[in-house]
Amino acid sequence: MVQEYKSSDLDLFDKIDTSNPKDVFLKNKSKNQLMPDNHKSFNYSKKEILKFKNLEDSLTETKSRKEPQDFFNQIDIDDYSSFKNMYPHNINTNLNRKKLSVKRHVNEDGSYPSIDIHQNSKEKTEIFQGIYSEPKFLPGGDKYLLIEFGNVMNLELNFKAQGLSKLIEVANIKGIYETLPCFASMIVHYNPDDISYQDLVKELKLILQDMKENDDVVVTSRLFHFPTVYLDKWTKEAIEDYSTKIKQKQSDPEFIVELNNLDNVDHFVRVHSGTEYWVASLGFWPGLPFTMPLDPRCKLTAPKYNPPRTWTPKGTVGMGGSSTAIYPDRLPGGYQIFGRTPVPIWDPEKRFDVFKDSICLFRPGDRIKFNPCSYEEFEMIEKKIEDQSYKYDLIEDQKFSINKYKKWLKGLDYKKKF
Amino acid sequence: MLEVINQGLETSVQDYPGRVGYLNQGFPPSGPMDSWSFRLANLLVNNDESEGALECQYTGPTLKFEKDQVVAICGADMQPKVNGKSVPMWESILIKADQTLELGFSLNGARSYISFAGGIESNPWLGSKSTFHKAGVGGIDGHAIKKGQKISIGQSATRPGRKVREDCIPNIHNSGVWEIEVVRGPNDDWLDDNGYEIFLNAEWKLQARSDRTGFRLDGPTLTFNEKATNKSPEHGYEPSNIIDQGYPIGGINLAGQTPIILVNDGPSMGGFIVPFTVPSASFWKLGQAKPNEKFKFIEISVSEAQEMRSEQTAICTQGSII
Repeated sequence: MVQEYKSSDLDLFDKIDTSNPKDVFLKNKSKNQLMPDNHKSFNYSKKEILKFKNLEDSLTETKSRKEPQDFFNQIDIDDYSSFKNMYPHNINTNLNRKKLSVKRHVNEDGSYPSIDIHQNSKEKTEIFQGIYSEPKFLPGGDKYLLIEFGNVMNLELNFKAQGLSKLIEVANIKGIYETLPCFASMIVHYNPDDISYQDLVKELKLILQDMKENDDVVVTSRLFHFPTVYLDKWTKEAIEDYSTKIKQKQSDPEFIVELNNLDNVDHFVRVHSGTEYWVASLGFWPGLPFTMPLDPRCKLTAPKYNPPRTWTPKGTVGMGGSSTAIYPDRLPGGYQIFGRTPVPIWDPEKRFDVFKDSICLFRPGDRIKFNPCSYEEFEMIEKKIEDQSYKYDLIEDQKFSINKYKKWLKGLDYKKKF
Repeated sequence: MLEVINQGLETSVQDYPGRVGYLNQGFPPSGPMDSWSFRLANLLVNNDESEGALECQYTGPTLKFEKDQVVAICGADMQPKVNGKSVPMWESILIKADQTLELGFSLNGARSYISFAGGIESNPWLGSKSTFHKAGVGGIDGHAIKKGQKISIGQSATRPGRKVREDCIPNIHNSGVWEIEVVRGPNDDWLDDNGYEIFLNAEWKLQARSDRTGFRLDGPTLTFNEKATNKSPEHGYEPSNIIDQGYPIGGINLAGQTPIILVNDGPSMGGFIVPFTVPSASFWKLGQAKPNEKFKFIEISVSEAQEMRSEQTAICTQGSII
């Protein structure tokens, strides 16, 4: 019932060699904030970013290859200085103190201005579906910028967002507070005192250029197994409550079966639990993972609730669009719901080791496998969680290479029925 | 040390600019809704503008002081009294040991800030003292302050009688209509020209179901571009559905036909379009608007929004205190 990877598939996820300091550094680097402080205090040049990427590439290709242990030399430092002179970040400090008259822009003929902020005005008339040849840069007020890579839910777009987010962190551009990679886009939070919108776009384009040259993205990835009761009584109760109090609706699993031309709800469970899910992003609520199926044969779609539910049981597994999520707590929500896991995915009290570094379990780039379980197993695990004897079922420190993943996709038997 | 005699409606510890750097784990920044008044309150008592202070919403708390303490109250007028006697706002005042500071309901505006010379001594959580009620983290025990709690205050010598210059005080008014600046984007091209005009010409009413996570608005029905109706199914079927994306703080989220302004404790991502964003310099107006008051939106450019922000930053300095 549960589809497992063949051993050849598992080659996709090379195990990291923890005795090699370079590997450990790269591992830490991929864990974002967990980078050793001495590395974080450096300003990295574009060349260094490239170097890191090459290091990663070589790491996945041949582990035995000897590389120097120091990451930069005088040439790199010189390179950084010239890079910095080319793109000064502090040009926007001349503050104009005059009082603003804030009025809406109106054209002379009384009409309103057309959208001039988007470079691609063609988009308005021609609806393109897919990955954009050039990402779009869209402003979100005075402190945020949204980069859109495309308008489909395609893993490649998320790989791009995660890769870019990683490179932005390494590039250490003054004025960028943080990034939030999502399915097909990424938010950049910046300080306009340090970098103007135009300069930010310029910088990001440069980094994107680098990414194009280095096709593969390698992400450190952990695999979590989550025991899950599918078609459970708790989500059923939440759906019924919604149906009586807010809006009459069909049971969520049956609705998904109908929309996706599946045989029945058992077929749905086999398909949904037949793949690993890629953690594309965390958001909406602390620690809530938005995930996508890695096996395209298991991709299902479903609309979101309208209006949203007022409550969802803690640990509920649900889907919207083609994304699957776990609800970290009893929360409102809009996904179609059909399962529940007893395993906590966020823990402000840090009762388990896995929460040592963060009270949120997941990081972007992790993978989740939902394993159907019985009520008895659910209760047993629930008890273990209560007395803190539960051991999280995870495999750490795997490298996920996008190119190898793509190779794996080509070898799949698309006629296979789950 | 001070004791909470009465907690008020929802009074919480906030600092400025809140919890920055955890967006990709799903944590919003929190922090004061009206950071203009908040920063001035801290500056009045010679604190760093970022220091932890109390945000009072609609009805303020009653606090009893164990020792002499200089405080300042800025923002909404909650008729502050010390031992029953009115005290001025926008000014540092001395409260003597055993005296009680009482804030009532708000006469104009919605949020008032109480700063304490020396700041609030609470443990920062992920680098910030700001309370994020919904997740129960930050502040004091993760929640709004409660009756009977003791709050410890740092040491600092500051004189009372320091005032905010008249022309540096935000114009918190009672007219019932707020003009709020918005910047187009990120998803403005999902609305058609008609929808865009409707949005900017309408008077939107702030719903009572509004809090530090989102401000819900009542108003006309908006219309969409083809982009909103002709799209791949994973966006969702409603015109306002989009593949889940990160939200800017201040983003005006269109959930079905209900615009929701995502504010300090709002979700970091979700699956609805954000056609407009309220820039940070206009947030103080959101913080002071009350349910059933009206919003009129005025479009400005990114650079105008950034200029407004610079102006506000310049106002929130010791130069504005006399």
